[in-house]
Amino acid sequence: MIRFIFRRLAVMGPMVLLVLTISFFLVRLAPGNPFTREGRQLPDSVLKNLNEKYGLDEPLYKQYANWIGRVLHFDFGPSIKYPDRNVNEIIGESITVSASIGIFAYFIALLVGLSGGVLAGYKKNSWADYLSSTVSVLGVSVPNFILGPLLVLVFSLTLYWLPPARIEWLAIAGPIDLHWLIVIFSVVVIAIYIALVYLGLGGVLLRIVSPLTHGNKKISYAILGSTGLAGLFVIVFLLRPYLHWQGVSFPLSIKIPSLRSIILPAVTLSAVYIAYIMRLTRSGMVETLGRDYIRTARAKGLSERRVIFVHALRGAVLPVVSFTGPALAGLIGGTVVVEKIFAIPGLGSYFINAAFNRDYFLLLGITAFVSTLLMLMNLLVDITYAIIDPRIRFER
Amino acid sequence: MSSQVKTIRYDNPQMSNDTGNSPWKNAWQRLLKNKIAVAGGLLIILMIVASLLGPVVIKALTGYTYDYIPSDKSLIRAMPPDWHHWMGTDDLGRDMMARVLYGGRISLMVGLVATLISLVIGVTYGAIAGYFGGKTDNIMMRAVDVLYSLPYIILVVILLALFNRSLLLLFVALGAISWLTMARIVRGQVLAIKNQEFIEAARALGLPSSTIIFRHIVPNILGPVIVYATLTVPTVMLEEAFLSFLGLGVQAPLSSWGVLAADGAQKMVIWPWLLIFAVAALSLTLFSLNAVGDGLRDAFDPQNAA
Amino acid sequence: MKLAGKIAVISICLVVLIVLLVNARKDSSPYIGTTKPSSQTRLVYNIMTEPTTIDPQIPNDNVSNAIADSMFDGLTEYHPQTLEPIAALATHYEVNADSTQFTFYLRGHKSPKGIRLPNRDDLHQQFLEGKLKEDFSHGHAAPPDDQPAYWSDGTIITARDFVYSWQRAVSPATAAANAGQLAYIKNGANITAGLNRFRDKKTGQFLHGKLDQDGHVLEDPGGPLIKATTKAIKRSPQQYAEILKMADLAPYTPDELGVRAVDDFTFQVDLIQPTSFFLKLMPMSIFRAVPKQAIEAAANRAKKSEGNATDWLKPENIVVSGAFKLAERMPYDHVLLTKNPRYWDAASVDLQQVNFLPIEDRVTGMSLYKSGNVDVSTGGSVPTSFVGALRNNKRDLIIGPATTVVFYVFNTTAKPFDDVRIRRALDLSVDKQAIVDVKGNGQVPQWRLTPTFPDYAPQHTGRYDPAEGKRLLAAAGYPNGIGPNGAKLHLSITYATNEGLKQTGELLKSFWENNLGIEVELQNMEAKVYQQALIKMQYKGLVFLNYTADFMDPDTYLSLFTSDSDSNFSGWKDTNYDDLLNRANAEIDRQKHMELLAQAEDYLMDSQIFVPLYIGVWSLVKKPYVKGFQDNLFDKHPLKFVWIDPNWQADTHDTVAQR
Repeated sequence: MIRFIFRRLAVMGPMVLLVLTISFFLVRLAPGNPFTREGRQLPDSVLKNLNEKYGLDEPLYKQYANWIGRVLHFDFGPSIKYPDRNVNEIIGESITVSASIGIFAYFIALLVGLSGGVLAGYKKNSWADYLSSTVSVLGVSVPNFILGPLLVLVFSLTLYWLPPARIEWLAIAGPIDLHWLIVIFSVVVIAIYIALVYLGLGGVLLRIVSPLTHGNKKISYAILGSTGLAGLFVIVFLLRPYLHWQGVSFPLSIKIPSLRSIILPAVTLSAVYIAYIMRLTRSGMVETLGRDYIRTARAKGLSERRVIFVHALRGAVLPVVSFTGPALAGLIGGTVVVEKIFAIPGLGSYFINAAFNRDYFLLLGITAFVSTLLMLMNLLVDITYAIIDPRIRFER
Repeated sequence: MSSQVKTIRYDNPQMSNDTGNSPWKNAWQRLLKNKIAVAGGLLIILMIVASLLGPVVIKALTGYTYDYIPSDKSLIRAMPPDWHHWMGTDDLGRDMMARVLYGGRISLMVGLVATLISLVIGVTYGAIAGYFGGKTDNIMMRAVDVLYSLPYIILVVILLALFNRSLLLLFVALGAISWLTMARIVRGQVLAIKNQEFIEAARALGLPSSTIIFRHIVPNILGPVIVYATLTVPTVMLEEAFLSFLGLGVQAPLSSWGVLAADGAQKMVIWPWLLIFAVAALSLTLFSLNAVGDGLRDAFDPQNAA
Repeated sequence: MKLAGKIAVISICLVVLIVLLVNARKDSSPYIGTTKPSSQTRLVYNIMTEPTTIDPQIPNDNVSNAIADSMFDGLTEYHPQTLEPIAALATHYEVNADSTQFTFYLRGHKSPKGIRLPNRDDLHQQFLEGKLKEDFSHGHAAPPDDQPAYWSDGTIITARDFVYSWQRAVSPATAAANAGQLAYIKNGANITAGLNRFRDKKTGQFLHGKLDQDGHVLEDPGGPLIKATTKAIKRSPQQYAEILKMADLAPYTPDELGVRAVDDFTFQVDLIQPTSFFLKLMPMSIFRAVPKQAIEAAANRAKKSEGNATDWLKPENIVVSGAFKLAERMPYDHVLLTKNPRYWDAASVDLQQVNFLPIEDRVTGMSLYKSGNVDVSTGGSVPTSFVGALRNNKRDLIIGPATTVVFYVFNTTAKPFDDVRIRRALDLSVDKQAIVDVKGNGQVPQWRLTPTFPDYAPQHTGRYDPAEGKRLLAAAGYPNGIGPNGAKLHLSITYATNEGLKQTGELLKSFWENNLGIEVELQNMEAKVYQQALIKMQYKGLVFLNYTADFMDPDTYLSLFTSDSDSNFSGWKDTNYDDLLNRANAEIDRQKHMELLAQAEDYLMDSQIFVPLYIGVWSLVKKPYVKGFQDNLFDKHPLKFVWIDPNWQADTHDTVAQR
């Protein structure tokens, strides 16, 4: 397992470079350039100066060589549209809010989706089932550019509970916001819940220890590995204002969004994912509940709760896991529509605007970031497969 | 174990075709007994018929078409639903019912065809990767990762620059992304079942890989595939609106449900009827598809086999 | 039945939705949302788009300029209502007889000469007399002219700062988008274009004459200087081999720009030709003073790899000359400015803070405005569907004329639109009034290129006359829209994806198809693809174009269609037209200038190379307590004049009573 993880991590660098190389030539192939505009066009002399300023007047292969050389030093260059900022800075500034909202939405989606799906699958053709299918139908077919404004209309402009848009920022240096304590607490609770659900463990500690004591190396390595990764992530997250790497600093912002202001965007964002997770879980539950081994488990006199959450769910969540890997990457990478509706300075707006503006360096920088994230998530998915279903092996 | 049930069912499909006892036929009969699924199916057929005939009927009865702008200037404005215009008119005074029904042609076609493309490519690709595993799997799934990571907008824009706007190109652009997650889901399922006894048995019998994949593996993973495919339909319909924004997709004054919803969203506080009917159509499609999908899944479930 | 249950649930949801939406529409207040200021000293200004950079000299979009203009003063400032130049860092100016040399006297000059620029001290009086709609200066008085102005770091702003700033503006390294505005100044265009002269190795004189095709030097002491860009020399070395043997390259450098500091407070500009409207350009962002000390310090640090050269725009480094100073910047979220206490006119600045918000989504912008999170928004920020519904019953929705002309240009190089009769036929058979009525925002139908200017009267008029259009089309060989080959005349309209343009396109299609019997195809494109199609003239038929003026002179529009224009994508080139414009711009006499321009426009309209549609409007929302903020043609609002009146209700009564 560990060798598998290392192999996958090792191949990730070249993979990202491959993505970037293809993307580099793709964006240059796309019609238009960063400097055309609406209305009156820039004079030739100004265009010439701009091209020189960003090195766009050189032959393409040379530009590629220059650029990839910088990328290998983790320097993605300046933004063309926003000339007083560089790409590293932009990603660093926007990732905090994108990640906060994305992860929040992810947890909402998992919580509601999994519980709704389990209930609907367990009580098939009951009112709970119909409610869950209504929710998922609306979740997918009412697009978030409609859901968002509707939520704003109800919760901000009618009830005045939540701000209609924009992030309220809390400086991390100040006293920690009470909301965030609640969030951290609930995230921990949810994480435990998900661990229970995912791993099919009855008592948390007992179950984490028991495979170890049984000498099941695969699982214990995986747990250690993922805990280690998570720990590393936390440390990097805390130290990020001070991180300097090869002379290129990653000036990440030290502001975090307040909980109040990210509830509506996160809920809006989660709707589609709730729908997918709920439907996939339901179908998995219906399928596994009819299986022989569930009957066996019941016959053995196991409690119904254990049967559902340990045995049935474990067999049912595989497609959910496959779906949520790329989904989480997408959520953290930012989602344009929600960012636009709620005026959130997230990565998604930068990405789509960079594409529309043909802001080559910014577009490629974000592509690099998001593709790395995606590959990491898919690696996590594969590890989760092995944890959930020991029959899945990763042969070389 | 459960695999025994499956082996009985899937080991002799060739034979069962002749005896009239085919699992597909059985499934079909079970599906017909499922009232909700039948209702859903009928609803979809109804919507297809309505979108094909509706605009013709409306034109014959009232003269309104999806692009008829009244010549009387005072009528060029958004009017709420009344007996004349059941779904109201849009800001150019065009009958919304004609527009929604006509838009259904494109949305339904786009939704169904693109989903079919994603189904075919995604299932085949994912099943092959999962079944062979190892290096094949690794290379195939890394390729999916790469495709997933490329800037989609730029790809579409380049496609548009190279080829002319056409329905085919629209399907290509929509199908091109929607199969990626499908492939991942299928591959995950295949990984989970490929080491089960009934597959090992088939392998021991020396059946060719293609037979094992399509006769033995794919029917056993249909559940999540059907669910994901039904959910893809409305997603694709909405995605089409974005492609229209990029210059692919429908061309004004033609419209589609996705485009109507996207345009209507900006005006929903002032003229809600521009939005509601298109979204309701989307929801209704998904409801029906869900019903049919659930029915299909039940029908194919070995546990329901009488 | 169970399906019925599902349908019931979804219908209930829809009904709730409709009820909510309908309820949301009921609102009898004359204002949108709350009318209580959240702060008496802070203005929150929705500018809709993220500024590209807050450097005043690099960008030329209105949003970036709005922020930069609040931080950097120029020689003159926009009058907040009329947009005419008023005194800022300069108090007086002088022009020589042939209008080729301008001399500006800055704040601190003990004995300024020439014409005194209108001072903002009169604004309050003019308001009381009813000449102005808003009380801009709010009773405050400006400091005396002989007191120098200071940078926010305490150094005096002198003429040398302007010399440095303008040299920076033309420098190729700056790559300023608006550098073309300095082309009126001596050597400005040469420097920006990166041109070189050739200095004879023996005589040390610049070579005059020209190069022939093989690169032989044909010297001609009376002829023009031989010039070439560095890029051209690199690209074809053989062409320049011979001349480079006999001469050295001598590039135009920024310090050759025709500007000088006569003394600390006297700044002089040499122009290449009489330019009647030069003074009107002075409030533009690119002409404003930038801090040499901060820019060079950041550049030096960048050389030692301690940050970037653009770091002078960070709050901790920035030095400003204007009313406000950068305090905080979070891209795509906000730009917060605080009052600059060292500002020369600080006594009259009421606002302590200005927060610019780039809210891209218009509906979101309206929600924020409604809930009181935004005080005022930039022009064009109100969704068009809202305008129609709110314009009659909400007093804080403000609709004012803009200078944006919307028109559709023909590709005159492609058949059949090389025929002026067909182009005229299309222009005649659009009911522009109907289009404007549908848009419903107060746009003005347009039959020529330029909006109205005082003393400017072209003869050309247009009308809606489909019968005449049909006749012309038949005369051109397309009776009833059917061409010689029996096929309908096919017209495609290319535009960048945009809801308003889609609506316009659909209306145009319906008019032309119904009135002329031709076939119209709409073609929307992603913005950059559209721009590419436009610039490379890869479009057929018509292409959408709009143009917003830089300054108030018809020339800004008319020069779009000269032969050497960077924005003439019609394929129509006419030297007579170029001549007329050149003559008009060399004319110092305003009356004659306008007459010649009017002739030029008539000449242009005779060719009908475009179908003008309408002149746009700004629609914006402004809370009633925001004072000193007046909608104007350019949507330029010097924020030093803005103040917040918590007692606005009492005040409105008073002013109403006074009038």
